Amino acid sequence: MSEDKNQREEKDHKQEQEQGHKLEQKSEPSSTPHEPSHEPLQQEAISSSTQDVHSQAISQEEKVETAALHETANLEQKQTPPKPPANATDTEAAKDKSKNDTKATPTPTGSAKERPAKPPRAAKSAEAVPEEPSPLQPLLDQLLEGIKREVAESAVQSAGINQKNGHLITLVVACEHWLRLAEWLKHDPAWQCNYLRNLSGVDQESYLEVVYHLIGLSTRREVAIHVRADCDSPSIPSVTSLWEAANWNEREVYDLFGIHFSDHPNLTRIMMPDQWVGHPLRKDYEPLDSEV
Amino acid sequence: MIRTEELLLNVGPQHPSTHGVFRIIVKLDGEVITDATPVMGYLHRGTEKLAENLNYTQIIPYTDRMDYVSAMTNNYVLVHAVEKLMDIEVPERAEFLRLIVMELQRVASHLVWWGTYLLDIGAMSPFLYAFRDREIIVDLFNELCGARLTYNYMRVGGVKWDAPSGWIDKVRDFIPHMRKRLDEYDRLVSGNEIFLARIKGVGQYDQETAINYGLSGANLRSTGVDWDLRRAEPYSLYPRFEFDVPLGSKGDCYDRYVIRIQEIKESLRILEQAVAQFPSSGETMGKVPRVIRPPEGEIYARIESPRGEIGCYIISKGKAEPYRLKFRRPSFVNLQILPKLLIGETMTNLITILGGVDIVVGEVDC
Repeated sequence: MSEDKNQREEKDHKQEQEQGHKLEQKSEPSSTPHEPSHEPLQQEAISSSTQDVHSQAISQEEKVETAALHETANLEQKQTPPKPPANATDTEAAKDKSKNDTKATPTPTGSAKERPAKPPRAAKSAEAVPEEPSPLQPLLDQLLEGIKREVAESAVQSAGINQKNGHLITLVVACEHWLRLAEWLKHDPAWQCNYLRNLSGVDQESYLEVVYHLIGLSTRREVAIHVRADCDSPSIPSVTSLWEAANWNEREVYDLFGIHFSDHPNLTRIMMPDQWVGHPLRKDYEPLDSEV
Repeated sequence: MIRTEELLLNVGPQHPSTHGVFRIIVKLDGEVITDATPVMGYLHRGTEKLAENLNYTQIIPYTDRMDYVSAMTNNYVLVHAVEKLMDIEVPERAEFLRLIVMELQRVASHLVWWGTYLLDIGAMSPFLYAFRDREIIVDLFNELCGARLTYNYMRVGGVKWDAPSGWIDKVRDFIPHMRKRLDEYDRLVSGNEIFLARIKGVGQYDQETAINYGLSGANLRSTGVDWDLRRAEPYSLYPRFEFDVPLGSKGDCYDRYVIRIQEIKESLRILEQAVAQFPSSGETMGKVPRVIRPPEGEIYARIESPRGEIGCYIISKGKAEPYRLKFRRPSFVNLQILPKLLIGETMTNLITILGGVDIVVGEVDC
């Protein structure tokens, strides 16, 4: 009796280990006893996230945003099939997600899209947002005005303030206006963003983006800028001519995400070997040996 | 006219003065460098990719292995970012412990730099002295968290272990000891004529270049830019303590040397105040949910590591694992200026300049 129990425990233990190693769970029907313990949690997480998205969709009715969201929702559907299942629970999640996607195509399911820390624009914040406006709101308005006047009317696609990040002004900038805007930010006397502190690539699955964290060391004004590129042939103008610090950072993003930076002086791989195939930090990247 | 043939020389990846597996291909005309191409990636482990499949607590040990000479500050930048994202309050005692280990780490890291830099230039004994003193700090860490190099000490919301009884006293005793030793080293090395001839005016750049290249830490401050994140964008308990930010003016290897030595002294000053104010009791872990699941959002947290601004950019989608985690590694960014500095220099100065930048290859490659 006790021996039986021991054996069973051992078996369970094995399965746990297998799950830990993230073996292909599809061919592993014995792992089903474990699912119930995971499933409720997962589903809860998913439903709550979709609720979030709904409420966001209601509170934010910006035309541009929603239009973009539709686009991404469509794109996402296209994208889901080739995604490799990481483990059983993930595939469950993916299935659930795709179900949700088909059910609710008009509502933006692209949770990948939203940055919740970002309150809507100035005009909106007066309406129905319970959060009190950030102390940097006037500065943001001033910045947007300056960009409209000096760079282009449509340069900024959306703007907000990341309150958690010390009220960091965050802009989403149209790719075609980025270089012009960067130049303006660096040379405008009120901003003088001469220090590029961080540059990171992000794979948002429906699109790729590069995030720049800039600061003016003398003005102490800080801004984060997102520039987006599509997945098929991503290309963003290089800012190496403005900030030398971007040189290797852009090479790293090119290497790991496959984003092409036009006019970069030496766009070659920097971390991976030169003959490497693929870009490892992409979400759909499939490693040669999935068990490693 | 006699012209020497151009020589292509491979320095590294296995060469002691490249401080790890860093490789640089130099073109030489006689002894003068005409072109330099750094080659990286020999230590690339894909930490950022690995992190996407780990929960936040599991990522902490990976940060130890980035800048392995300064693991404590790496720990801090990650937990600090998550705490900011989740609005977690850290108990005072835990924050004090963190600050003390970070400053001890700064001293240890600068000692390693000091020893190896002099070794690069040709002085053997300072290396032994530096490691002898660093050993005291390593022992203190060992007593605190059971590891000598990769500590895995901090957690989201606090620290893993409270200080054992008598530990703070040991830190207190260490401060005057280190001060005495530093004076000794100053007399031994800092005025040495050969040493000064090797580093004064070497690897010089101006303020504008430093800012344009995004340098940070002593590399930036050697040009006179007053930019120390402990002061400029205060975090942790630093606003409570008095300390100065040493600055240079010429932006050469000598200034960087002096700044690092001064920074050890300033760290000892901070430690002295921190030990005096250390709360006698209290929690070492804040109220943290069992599963750390930050809300959706993004954050860029940065702190001053011994090498400069180390940053952690997290995008969370409300899951237990980060959607994207990017580390801004000061060594990687600081190293960019190297090829520019090397052109026109001699081969011997390559070692001086590379050493002066103070890189840790684990952090360059990540």
